[in-house]
Order: sequence, then C-alpha cells, then structure tokens
Amino acid sequence: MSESYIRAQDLVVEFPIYNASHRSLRKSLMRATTGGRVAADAGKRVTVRALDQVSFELKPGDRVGLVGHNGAGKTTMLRVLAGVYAPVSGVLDVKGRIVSLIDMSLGMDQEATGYENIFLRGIMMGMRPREIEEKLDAIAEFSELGEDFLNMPVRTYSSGMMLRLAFAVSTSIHADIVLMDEWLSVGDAAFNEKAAERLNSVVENSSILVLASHSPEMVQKMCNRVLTFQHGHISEA
Amino acid sequence: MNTISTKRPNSLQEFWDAVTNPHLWALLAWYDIRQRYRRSILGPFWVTISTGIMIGMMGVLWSVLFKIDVKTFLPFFAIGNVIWTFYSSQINEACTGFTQFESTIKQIRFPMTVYLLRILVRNLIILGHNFVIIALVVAFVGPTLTWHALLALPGLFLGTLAMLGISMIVSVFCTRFRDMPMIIQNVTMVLFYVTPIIWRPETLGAKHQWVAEFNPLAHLIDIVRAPIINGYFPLQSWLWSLATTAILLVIGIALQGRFRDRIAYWL
Repeated sequence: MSESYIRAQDLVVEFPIYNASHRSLRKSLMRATTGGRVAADAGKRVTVRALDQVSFELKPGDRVGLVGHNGAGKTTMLRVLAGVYAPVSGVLDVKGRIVSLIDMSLGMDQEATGYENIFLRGIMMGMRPREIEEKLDAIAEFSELGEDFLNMPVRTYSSGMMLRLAFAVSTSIHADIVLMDEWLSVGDAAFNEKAAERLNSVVENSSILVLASHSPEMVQKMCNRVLTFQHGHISEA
Repeated sequence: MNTISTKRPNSLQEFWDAVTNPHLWALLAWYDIRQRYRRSILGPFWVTISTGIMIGMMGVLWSVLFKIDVKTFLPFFAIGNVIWTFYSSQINEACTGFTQFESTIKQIRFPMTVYLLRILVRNLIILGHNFVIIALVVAFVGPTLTWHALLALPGLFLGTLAMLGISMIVSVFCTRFRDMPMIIQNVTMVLFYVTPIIWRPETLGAKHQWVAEFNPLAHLIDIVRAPIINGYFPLQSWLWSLATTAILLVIGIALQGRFRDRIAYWL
C-alpha cells in the first residue's frame, strides 16, 4: 500500500475537434492525392489543449483536491489518471490499484436483476468473477435491498435503491488510489450515514485520494493538498 | 492493469491481456445476448427461424430455377449461408466495435481488444443457435456424415481468428472515419455475391474460376463447409485461410498497438 505513487511530468492533453468534414475519408484521401490544394483547410485541425505542462507528484497519504472552474481540466485529469486518455506528451507513472468512483453506475443494466448487476458492476470495477462471488453476501447485505429485490430487474428499483446497489459494489473493493468526481451522497438519511462511513473507510484505507470538487468545504474537510486548475495549468496552494 | 505509464503499450502484451481475461468479454457477451432477448420466449432462436425460412425458401427456389438437385444444393447453401451470416455480421458489427462502448471506454481502461472479442462471442452464440439449421438440413436432406465432418470445427476456429483480425482492422478505421461503416457494409454485400454461397464454384467455368480461387472468404467458408458436405480435408483452402488469418492478425495487432491511445480521443 505504501508503495503507490503518481508521478506526472509535463503532461499535455489535447483534444482534436472533428467535425463531419475532418472525419470523412474523402478529405483524407483528397489530402493524400491532391497534396497542397486541400491542405490549407486540412492543416487547420482544431485542437483544444485541456492540460498544459502539468507536473505533480503524489505520495502515499496524500489526499488531493482538484479545484477550478468548469472546463479547467479537473475531470480530464481524473480520466488521464484512470488511463483513459493518454497524454500527448509528458510522462505519467502510476503505481497501485486504481479505483474510479467517477461514475458509479457504469456497466449496470436496467433489465438485469440486482444480483446480475453486482457482477456487471463488479467487472467494471476490475474485479474477477471469483472475487465478486466472495463478496456477494457482504455487498447484498450492505445494500439492504433484501433477496426479493435483488432477484428483480433493476428497472423496478427507485433511483435511491439503484444508487445504493451501485454504491455497495463500487466501495466493496480495496483500492490504493481512489479517483472521485465530487463527493458522493446516497439515498435516505439513515443510509447516507452508513454510506458516508463506508466511503470514509475506503478512503482511509487507500493510500492516495484524488477528489475533483466544486465544494471548498468538502475539499477542506477531506484533503491535505489542493491543486488548482486554471485553463489547463495547475498551481498548488 | 494495476500500473499504467505513458510508454506506448506493447501491442502483443495488450492483445494477450485481453485474451487472458475472458470475464471481460465472454461473460459480458453472454449478458448482452440475455439482455437483448430478455422477456422473449424464443430469444435468439428468432434469428434462427428467420435465417432458416430464408435458407429453405431460397434453397428450393434456386434449385428449381437453375435446375440443380435440391439434395446437393440445399446443404451447400445452408452451411455456406450460416457461416457467411456469422462472418458478415461480425465484420459489420466491428465497425461500431468502439463507438458502441464509448461510455465505458471513456471511463475505464481495459485492453481495447476486449470490446471486439465481446462482439465476436456474441456472434458465436448466435451462430450456435443457427447451427440448428445445419443440423436439420443434414438430418433430413443429407449428406451422410462421416467422421471427417468434425474437421469443420478447427476450420471454424480458424475462421473465428480471421474475423478477430478483420475486426481489429476495421474498428480502428471506422472509429476514425465515420464514412467507413457504410463503405464496409457495401463491400460485404458485394462479397456475398462473389463468394460461392448461392452458386457453386464449378458453375463458374474455367475462365472465371479465379473469382473463387483468389477469394480468401471463399476459402474461409470452405474450410467449414467442405468437411461436412464432401467429407474431406480441404488442404488448399486451409493454406489460404492460414495465410489470410496470419496476415489479418499481424496487421490488426499492429494497428491496434499504433492507435490504441488515440481511440478514446476519436470517440
């Protein structure tokens, strides 16, 4: 656990903006055959630089809050850490089991039963079926949904119940590095307390937390380091 | 999975990671099929029924029109068509191999080939259902089976590998260029007619024999069909198919490795 780290050096992430004309094969072929003629418009491919020369190093025990305006690069940074977007340049080195709590219901299926969804969600969390089976009872118990409901399709659930199930699976895993986009709140008051407790323990047991948030109170409460994003640049306060 | 770094992922390693984590594709493919046909009594067998009706009608119609013996034509057409349905739907679905999983790809890092294998297994499950048609035709029309028919299985396995190779190639281009899926659809439609499925290669005559001879898809179908129909091991088709599969896989793995990091940006 104490081995985990995140090292980022001069990360640059650029999103190419394609519109229909740039995406078409015709343009590409024309560019290849006609050389300079189309090149004038083809060469002007629009890119948006979401992260610009971002460097930081996170060590075990770091609880990092990512703050900044909408579009400042917080979510992009989380996705880069999750391995989704590869930086265009720069070096990113991550060690440890990453658990992303960014979208907790990803992979779940409305038509499948609660039990099936535990597997579907568990697989998306990076668990193997055997690992999920071992945790099945604990997850079912934590969700407080009861066997009857867990055998029913999730579409019959209320949104609160569905979130409970997603939460129960998503937090059942040990993580070295936890990625979160806003702190989570789940369901009714009684469950919310239990959920908060569980979430705290997941975070406490992890060695690094990266939390993107718009709430200064939350960041102040949970984090011991703050990285401020501004137009893709970061500064540490 | 545990550690990531910006070093370009080794394409072979990533391919291997996908293959050795079957819960990421085989299990999810199974769920996909169950989800697609949930609350339907016959489920995937509806595909079997419509394919079966089509094959029955066309088989009889063609043999009457072209005055061919139904007993020899129907098995030939049935097997060829069932295998072709598997191949062509895999190629066409691979066009959306990444776009249909956009929400997952943008959230979590899995080896990219996982998504293509998932589609492949889905189509294999459908093929398994369609196999009923072949079984019925063979049982009621012929031919008489010999032990050599079992050679169709390694043939099908090779064909599946070839489809994986094609999928790895078309998925990359189709994600980048959104006109590609339509082009590929048209190409597969044309390929259906130039591949011996509704016509026998003998009917081409010596002059046009090359159409079947130099068509890799014809060989990929033959390695499954010939052992059942003729009860022999089609050596030449196997050699063609081995070469085709090897080339497709090499290009596919190389392309996936080269563009792996760009796919999320293209979605």
